[in-house]
Amino acid sequence: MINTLSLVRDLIGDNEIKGDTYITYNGNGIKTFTLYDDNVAEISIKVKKNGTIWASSGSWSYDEDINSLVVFGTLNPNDNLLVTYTYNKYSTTELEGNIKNALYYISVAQYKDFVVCSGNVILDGVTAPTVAEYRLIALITKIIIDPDITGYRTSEVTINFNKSDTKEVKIEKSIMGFRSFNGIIGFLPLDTSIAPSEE
Amino acid sequence: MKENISIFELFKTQNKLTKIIIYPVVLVENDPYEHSTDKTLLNPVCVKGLVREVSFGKMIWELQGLKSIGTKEIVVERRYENLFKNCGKIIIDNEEYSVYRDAYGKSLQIIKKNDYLLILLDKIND
Repeated sequence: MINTLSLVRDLIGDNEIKGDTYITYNGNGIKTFTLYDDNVAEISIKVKKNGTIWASSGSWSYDEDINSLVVFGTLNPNDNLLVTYTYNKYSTTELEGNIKNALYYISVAQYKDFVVCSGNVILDGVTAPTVAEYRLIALITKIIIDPDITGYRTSEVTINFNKSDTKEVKIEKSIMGFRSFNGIIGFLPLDTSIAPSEE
Repeated sequence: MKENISIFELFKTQNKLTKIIIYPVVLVENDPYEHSTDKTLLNPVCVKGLVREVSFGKMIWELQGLKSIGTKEIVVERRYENLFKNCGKIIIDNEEYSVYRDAYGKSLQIIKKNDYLLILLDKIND
């Protein structure tokens, strides 16, 4: 199963950025420290107390709702904490909202009706999207986030946008670029009648 | 129609904004007659903004009353207005700047511009 979120992050260039927060505890009794960057990956957080790595077990935890480090362990005034982590430019919630917008545009263009199931899995009711359709969803999400995109070129599809194209026109062009038709191409002798039969 | 490009948004998208460390403050009145207060700094929060040096000429001729060296002009989102008005310490690039409650409207000015605040900060000399 393709992870739509990571596909979108790859396409918009939302790579993980290294960040840090340097805290000096001033002894005010409040041991909740807001991290300097948003959208922090909880798993990447490492804390150094006075230059020594401080394990999280029982000493501290990260509260995602308030983007803060909550310290349970002992802190003395003037203790230094260095918190290092990685973070993304866009939050998961923001991207999920934009993906839902993209699905709306795809549905309006009568391409297919996709629905979001259990957070990340996108289905059109019964079948899972193809790889190309995942890429279409990611491309439209990118156009919604960054409407200044000038083109999209892969081995399977090439779409060029004009500078004056609005966001909606770019989305329409993208969906047209990804449309495929099933049929057979063959050759007929020149004397074959191609007029529709009267039956 | 040409779209207005917000420099702030451009810097924000490219992750080039400067970190402004702000310490909110709690004031507790310890003498009801003298109205003297105890100031306790809370843990810092980080606001990202556009920080620019103010030119010497502008400080002398346009913004009289400000120090001619070390003043910075910052642009932040408007939602931080109360935070800037009620903070007890501002740090930019490890240097401390004057706060609104101590400046009496002289050395820290807050100018509201659409969705943003333009704030002039005076550097505190060590």
